[in-house]
Amino acid sequence: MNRDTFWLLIYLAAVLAGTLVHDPLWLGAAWLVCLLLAGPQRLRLLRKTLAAIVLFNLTVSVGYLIVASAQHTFAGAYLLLVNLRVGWLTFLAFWLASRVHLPRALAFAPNLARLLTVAYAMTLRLLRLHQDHKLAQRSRTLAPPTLQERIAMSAAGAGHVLDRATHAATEVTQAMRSRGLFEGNQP
Amino acid sequence: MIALDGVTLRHPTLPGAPNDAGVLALDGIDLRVAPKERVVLLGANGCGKSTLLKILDGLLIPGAGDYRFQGEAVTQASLRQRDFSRRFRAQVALLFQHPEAMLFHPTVLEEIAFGPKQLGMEGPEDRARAWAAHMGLSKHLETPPYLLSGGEKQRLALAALLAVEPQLLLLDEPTAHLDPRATGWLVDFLADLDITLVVATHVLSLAPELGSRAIILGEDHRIAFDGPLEAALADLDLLVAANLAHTHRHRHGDSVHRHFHVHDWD
Repeated sequence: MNRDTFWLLIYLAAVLAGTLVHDPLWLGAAWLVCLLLAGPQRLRLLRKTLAAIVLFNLTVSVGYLIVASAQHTFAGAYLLLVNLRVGWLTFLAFWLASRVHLPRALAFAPNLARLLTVAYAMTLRLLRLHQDHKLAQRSRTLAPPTLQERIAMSAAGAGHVLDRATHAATEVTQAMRSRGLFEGNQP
Repeated sequence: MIALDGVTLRHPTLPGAPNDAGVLALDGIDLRVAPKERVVLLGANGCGKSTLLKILDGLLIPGAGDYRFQGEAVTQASLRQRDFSRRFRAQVALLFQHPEAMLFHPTVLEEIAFGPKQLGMEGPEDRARAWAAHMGLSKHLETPPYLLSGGEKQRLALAALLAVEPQLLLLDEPTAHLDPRATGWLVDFLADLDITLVVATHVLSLAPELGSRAIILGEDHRIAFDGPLEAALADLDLLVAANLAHTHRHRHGDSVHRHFHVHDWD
């Protein structure tokens, strides 16, 4: 077992353990331990985590607050537990992504590792395309676009990305076939 | 080695396109390529060069006509037979225009070793290391391929293909994304290969470095010329008709005149 696979298994075990903890105090303690173990990157990971969950957690929390108050079933500990759990799982995911080379962690399942590599490479390509699209829009726009223009631009951009994704997926599949991946002999 | 007879192919049209009968990509292509021959496939964008290479690699099956490789028919059915498919894939390799489409392994080492492992060749990892060294990729053995530069990806894709020692190498616009130094390296590298080459390009200046026989695909998707490269490059009318050269307006003081122009080859 390589180092990356080991950390992937630790992560999966931690996720499983986290879902079995129902006491906010224990989950808070787990949060604290993870923050301490994360080392010098802990603040960066924490910022990233908070940015990722703030909208989702706020929406869910406010929704729960309204519904539970109306039904007189509000439980602060439960709300805290939900927020801590979502935050903790997100933090763990970011921590894993920063420490572990995921395709290498999946070395025990070569097809899964290939799939992940292709997906990641494709995501990078499409992100670059999306950024180019945004920059091109900015360079061709004299005044800030109206909401209607923004919607039209986003739709055009999404269409372009989708078209490229379809084309790239076809190319990747052909390349895999060309190199004999689907001939049933793969190592 | 390669025999195409009356090969025609139409790509299916996408929803919303005006013509639902399919887009003609190749029309009645007859072609013979002998072992160790070096063929340069010339043509403007959209004339069917990539489609022809994909047919030669068994990735697209023509709607009409026959393709035989070393005397054996390459069809949907034959490619489904494991023995034939394995033999064919071991002998024919295609370098895609965008090499990143070909890279699907977590590390450079695994990418190169994949082919030899699959074919049961001896010492796949040693072979991969040797090819990586040959291509100047030794320091990237554990790097994910998607993190390499464009030129490095091109070299990696070539290493991955050549590690299985194919007899026929098909290259689709191999210099399209390379800087001048990488282009020079690739041209020199290909010159030293002792296998059959079919190289698609529209860079006329490189053509003499890549092969001695030219096949020009016209915009009607048929073969407009098949013969010595020198003869093709000397025929300006042919090049203009195939959209490989154009007329260009020049201004000298007050006078303006037009003449033929091949931007990268004079």
